[in-house]
Amino acid sequence: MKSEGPIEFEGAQIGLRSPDEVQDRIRKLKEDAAHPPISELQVNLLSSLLAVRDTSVLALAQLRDIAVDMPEISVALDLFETRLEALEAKGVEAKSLEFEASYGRTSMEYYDGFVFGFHAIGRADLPPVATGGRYDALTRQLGQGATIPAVGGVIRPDVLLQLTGDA
Amino acid sequence: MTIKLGIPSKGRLMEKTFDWFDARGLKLMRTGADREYAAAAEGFDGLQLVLLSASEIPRELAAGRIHLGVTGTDLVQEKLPNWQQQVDALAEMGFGHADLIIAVPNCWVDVDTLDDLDAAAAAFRKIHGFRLRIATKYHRLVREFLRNAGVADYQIVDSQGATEGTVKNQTAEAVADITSSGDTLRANHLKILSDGLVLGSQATLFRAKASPLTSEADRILQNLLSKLSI
Repeated sequence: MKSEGPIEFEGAQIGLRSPDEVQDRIRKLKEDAAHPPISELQVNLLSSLLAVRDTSVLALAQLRDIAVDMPEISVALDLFETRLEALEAKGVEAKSLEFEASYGRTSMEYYDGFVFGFHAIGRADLPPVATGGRYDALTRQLGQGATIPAVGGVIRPDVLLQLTGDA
Repeated sequence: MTIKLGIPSKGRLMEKTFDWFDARGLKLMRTGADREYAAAAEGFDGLQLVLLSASEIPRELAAGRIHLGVTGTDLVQEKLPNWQQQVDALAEMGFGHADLIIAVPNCWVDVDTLDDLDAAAAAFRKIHGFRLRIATKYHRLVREFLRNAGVADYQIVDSQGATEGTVKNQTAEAVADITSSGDTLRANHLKILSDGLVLGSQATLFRAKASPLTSEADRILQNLLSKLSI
């Protein structure tokens, strides 16, 4: 929104979004503008956090480095480490799995925790064969306050068939 | 075997298409009775003209029933999924200009950009209990555009005509529609978002990728394209 321009509006009021809703947002924008911006240090930390992309074991090491200046992510990193160990105990070579800190941020609408995707090796032209993860906020939203942990995923049958050659 | 060229069947778009080919030395004309949908290319063997509604030309190209076609970029990109895989844009023809834009009520003085729209949509959903409605007939184009811009919490409602009236009638909160002068938007108390240009469209000559050609037909096509300097 431009900083100049009319705040009161003289023309036709149309549509369902009311003048009160417009004024309410203007008030919030003003409050927001009064807040000092986050520091350059914090911006850089967030950028480097989102840029982490490596095998799980190396990604974890990089994230631990970032956690020195950003201790609030340490709990999540402990969980991440525990998850990798649990996968290893199940016989998955979890340490060599690829990890992307920003995976699914723009494409996996309601997933909000740990997310995963299965990609066919050498088939960058295909969408992921399967994706999923945690969506605890969704159950909290639908439960209107009541909450249960939620995890799930989807397997795309059309992609699977293309890969197995049965299509 | 002949090459089939799909041409808009009516109005200014047809006249301008004839002019465009005429300026490149290829005379197209209607044949038969005044209301008969038939046309021919003078002095060029192996080219068959097919008069079609501009909105059907993308589909006919994708199906390979015509080899070339003149229609708007907006119609091709809206009607064909992964349009680049189905057709090649050979030449922009310099007419039939129209912009697909996102517009909101003038009275939304707090909304000037797509970021504002996203914030307004999130707040609207909380208050009204449903997603902010955007009326349009360009579902695919608008969805892709808003996804890339990071706008969430909206829904598309279909509107095949008189789209600018939907806000006043409270069947939508915002619109996405084609405009050339902006007069209709202004008359309906709407303004275009400053970064709300979804697509600048114009009449374009397309080639179908799906349609395999015999060597003779390919020769005719190459002759035609060289005559048109494409």
